[in-house]
Amino acid sequence: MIWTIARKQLLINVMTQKFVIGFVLCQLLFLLSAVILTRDYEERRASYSAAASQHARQLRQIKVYSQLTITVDRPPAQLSPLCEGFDKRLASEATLSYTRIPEISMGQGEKNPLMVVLKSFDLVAIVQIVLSLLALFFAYDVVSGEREQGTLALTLSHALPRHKMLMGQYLGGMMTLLPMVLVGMILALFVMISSSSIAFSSQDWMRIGLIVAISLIYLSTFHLLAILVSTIVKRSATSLTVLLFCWIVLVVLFPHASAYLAHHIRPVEAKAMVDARARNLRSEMWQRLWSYAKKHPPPPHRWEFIKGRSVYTGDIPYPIMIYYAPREIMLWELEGLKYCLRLDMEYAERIHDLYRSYERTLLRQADLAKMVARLSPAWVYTQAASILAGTDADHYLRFLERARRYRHVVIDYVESKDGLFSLAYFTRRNMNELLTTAELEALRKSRGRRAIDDLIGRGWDEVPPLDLRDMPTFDPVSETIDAQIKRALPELGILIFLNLVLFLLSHVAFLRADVRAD
Amino acid sequence: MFWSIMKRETLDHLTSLRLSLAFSLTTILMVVGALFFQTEYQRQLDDYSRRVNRSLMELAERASAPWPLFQVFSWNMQLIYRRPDPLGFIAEGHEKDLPDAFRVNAFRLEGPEYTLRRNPLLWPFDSLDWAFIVSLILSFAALVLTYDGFSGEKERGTLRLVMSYPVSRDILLLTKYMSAMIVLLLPLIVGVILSLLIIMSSGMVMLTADMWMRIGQAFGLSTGVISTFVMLGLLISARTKQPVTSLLVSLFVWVILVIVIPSGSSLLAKGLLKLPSREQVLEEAARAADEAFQSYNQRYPHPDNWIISGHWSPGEPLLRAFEIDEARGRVIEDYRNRMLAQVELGRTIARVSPSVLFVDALERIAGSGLVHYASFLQQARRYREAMKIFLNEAYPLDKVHPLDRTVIDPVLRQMTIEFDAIPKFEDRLPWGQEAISGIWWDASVLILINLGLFIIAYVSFRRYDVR
Repeated sequence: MIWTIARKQLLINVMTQKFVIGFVLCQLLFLLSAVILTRDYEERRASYSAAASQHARQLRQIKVYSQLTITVDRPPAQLSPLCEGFDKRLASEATLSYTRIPEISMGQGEKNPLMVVLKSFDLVAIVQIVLSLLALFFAYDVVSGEREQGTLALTLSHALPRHKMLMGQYLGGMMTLLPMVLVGMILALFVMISSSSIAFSSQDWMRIGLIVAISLIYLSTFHLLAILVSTIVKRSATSLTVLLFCWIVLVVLFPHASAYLAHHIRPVEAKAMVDARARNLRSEMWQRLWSYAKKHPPPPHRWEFIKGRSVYTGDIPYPIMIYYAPREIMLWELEGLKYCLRLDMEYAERIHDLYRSYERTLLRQADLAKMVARLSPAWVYTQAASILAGTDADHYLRFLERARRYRHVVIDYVESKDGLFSLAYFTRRNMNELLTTAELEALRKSRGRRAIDDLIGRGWDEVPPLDLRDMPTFDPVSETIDAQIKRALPELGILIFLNLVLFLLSHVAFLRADVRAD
Repeated sequence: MFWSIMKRETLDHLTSLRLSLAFSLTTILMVVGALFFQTEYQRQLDDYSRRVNRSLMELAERASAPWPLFQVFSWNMQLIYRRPDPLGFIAEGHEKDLPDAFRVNAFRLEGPEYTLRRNPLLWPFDSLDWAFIVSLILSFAALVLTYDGFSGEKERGTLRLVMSYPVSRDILLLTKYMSAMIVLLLPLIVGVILSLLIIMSSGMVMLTADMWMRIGQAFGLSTGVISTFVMLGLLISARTKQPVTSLLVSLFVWVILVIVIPSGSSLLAKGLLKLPSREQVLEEAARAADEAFQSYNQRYPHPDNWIISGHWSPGEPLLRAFEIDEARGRVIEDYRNRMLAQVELGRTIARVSPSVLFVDALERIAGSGLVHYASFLQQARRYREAMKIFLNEAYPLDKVHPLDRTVIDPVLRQMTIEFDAIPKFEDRLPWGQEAISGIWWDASVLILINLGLFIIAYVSFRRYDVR
C-alpha cells in the first residue's frame, strides 16, 4: 500500500508544471556551474603544478644547509567544484625553515583579493538553495491540500494506517527529488571527468556517492519539515507561507547570521597586532645577537682571503654562506653560528607560540559560529559535504600541522647529516683544508696571488648542489575516507536525527489530525 | 471604488501571516544589525586611531633621526590605513574582508594589506546591514506577498466578482501594487527608525545633514527595489493561472536574481578578464626597473653608475631612483588596476539583477566596499606622489649624478626636516559628487525597470482571463 501511495504522489508531482520548471532549471544550473567550476579548478591545478615544480627546482639548487627553506604545496581539492568550502580561501602553500614555522594564512588560490565582494557558488549550493526549495514545494500541501480537496478523508476511509499513508507520501516526494539530484550530479560529474586534470580514484567516487547521499538526507529534512507543517496547518496557503519563511531563515539567513554573531560576540584580535608583537620579539633577538657580537669581535682579517660570504650583517657572526675564509675566521663564524642559530630557533618557537595562541582565538570564534550554525540544516549539510570533499577549514589546519611536523623531520635529517650547528651549515669546506691568515699571507709572499686564487677556488658557481635525495619528502596525502566520515559524523548525525524527529512529529501530528475537509 | 479596493487589499495584507513574519524578521534583523554595528564601529575607530597614531609616531621618529630624508622617504615604509565607514550600517560592503592598508614611501606603494580583525577560518558572510535586509528579506517578502495577487483571486473566484463591478483593470493593478507597497514599507520604516534610534543614542555616529541626505537616498532606493519585486510578483501572478505556479516561478526568479547571478558573475568575470600570477607581475616589474636603470645610465653616463641598492641610498642619483621606481610602479599599478577592473566587471555583469544594482548603489551611498577601496587606492597613489614632490624639493644636492660620500655625509646626515611639513595621509571617504551621480543613474535604471515591469504587468493583466 505504501508503494501505491508513493507512486500516486510521484505521478502527481511529476505531471505538474512545477516539476518540469524545477527539473529543467536545476539541470541547467548544474551543467553551467560544473563547466565554470571545472575550468576554475583546472586553472588552480595548473598554478599548483607550476608552483610545486618551481619549489622542487629551488630545492635541487641548494648548496649549503642554511639555504634549506622549503615551501610545501597543497594541491587544490579535486572535489572542490562540488563543494568549494575553504579550498581557495586558505593558503595553498606553507614555507618552513629552521627558524620559520608556518602559520595560518589566507590563500593565493584566489589571485584577486578583491573578489571577496562577489559571492561564490558550487554544486552543493544548488542542492542547498534551489533543491531545498523544491523539496518544500513538493510537500507543502501533501496533507493540507488533500484535506482541502477532500481526498484525505476518502483515502483514510480505506483500511490504511496513517503512518503508511505518511510514509507513502514521503517516499513519493523523495522519489520526485531523486532524479533531480541524480541527473544533475551525473551531468556535472560528466563535465568534470571530461577534464584532463581531474581523475577520480575509487575513494573519490565513494566520497561523491556519500555527498549525493547526504544531499538526499538534507533534502529529506526539508521534505519532512514541509510534511510536518502541512499536517499541523489547516490551509495549504498558510503552510506554504510558514515554510517559505522557515526556508529563508534556515537556508539564507542563518549561515550569514551565525558567522556574523560569532564575529561580534567573540571578536578576534587583528593579525597586524600579533605581527607587531612578533616583530618586537624579532628585534629583541637582534639586540641579543648584537650584544653577543660586541663581546665576540671578529679576529683580524683580510678581505682578499674571504670569498663568497653572504651574511645577515657583516658584524654579527651569523653566517649564511661562506665559500672560503681563513681558518680562524671560520672558527669565529662557527662559534657564532652555534649561538645565533640556536637563539634564532628559540625565538622562532616563541613567535610561533604567539601565533599559536592567536590561532586558538580564531578557532574559538569559528567554533562558536559553527555551534550556532548547526541549528541550520543547510549549514550542516554544506559542512558535511565540504569535509568529504576535503575543502573544510580543518583540512587546511591538518595540512598546516603536517607542514609543522615536517619541519622537525627536516631538522632531524639535517642534524643526522651534521649540517645544523656545524661548518656544513654555511660552507662546503672542511676545517682541515683551511689555512690561517698568516699561512695564506706566507703563501702569497712565496708563490704569489695566483697561488692564493688557485687555493681558494672560483666561487659558489663551481660548487655542485647538495645531494638531498635521501631527505624525507613532504607527504601531501589527503585524508582517508574513513577519517573524513568520522569527522563528518556529528553533521551526519544531526541531519539523520532531524529527519527522525521530523518524521516522528509528523506522524504524531498526523495521528491527531482532523482529516475532514472544512 | 479605488479606495475601497485599496482598503480591502491593505487590510488583507495587514492581517496576513506573511506580513507578520516579514515584519518581525525585518525589525529583529534591523535592530540586531544596528546594535552590533555600533560596537563594531567603536572597535574599528579605536583600532584605526591607534594604528594611525603609531604610524605618525614612527614617521616623527624617522624625521628626527640621522639621515632623515632616507629614513622617511626611502628606507622605511609608512603604513597608511583605510578609515572605518560611519554609514556601514547602510551597506558594509564587505569592508571586513577587503584590504585596508598600504605601505608607502616616496618611491613605492606596496600592498594592499590587511590589518583588520578577521578570521580566515570563518566562512564568508554578509553583515546584517540595510542592503542585506532589503535585498534579501524584503525582496523575498515582496514576492511572497504578491505572487497570488491575481492568480490567487482567480482561483478563489473573487477576481471575477471584482471585475463585475465598474472597475478598470489598471485601477485594480494599481491598488494591488500600492497596497503591497504600503504594507512592505511598514517594516522598512519601522526597521529604519529603530536602527537610526539605536545608532543615534549610542552617540558613535553624529549624523550630519549630508548623512541624512544619504540615509534618505538609501531609503528611496530601498523603496525602488521593493517596488521592483512587487511588480515582478504581480507580473508573474498576471501571467500564470494557478497561485502555486506563480509562486514557483516567483521564487525561481528570486533565487536567480538574488543568489545565482551575484555568485555566477565572479566566475564569469574571472573567465573574461584573466589576471597574471603575482610572480609574473614581479618578474615583469623587475625587468622594467632594469630597463629604466640601463636607459638612465646611457643618458647620464658616469663611472660610478653601477652602484644601486634595493632602495634609494646615499650617493645614488635621486632622479634615477625615481625613474626606476616609476617604471616598476607602472607594472604594479597596472596589475592593481586589473584586479579592480576584474571585480568591477563581475559587479557590472551582476547588475542585470536589480538586487545587485541596489546593493551596489547603497555601497556607493555609504561610500563603502569597492568604491571605498578604489578611492583609498587612488588617495594612496596621490600620497606617494606628494611624498615624491616633497623629497624632490627638499633634496639639496645634485639629483642627476652619483655622489661621493664626502659630499653627501656632511649635508644629509645631520639635515633636519620639519615633521609638520611632511605630507600626511588621511583617508577621505568617497562621498564626492562622482559617487552621487552614479546613484542617480542607478535610481533611473530602477525606475525604468519598474516602469517596464508595470507596463508588461498591465498588458498581461489586460489579456488575463479572470474566469
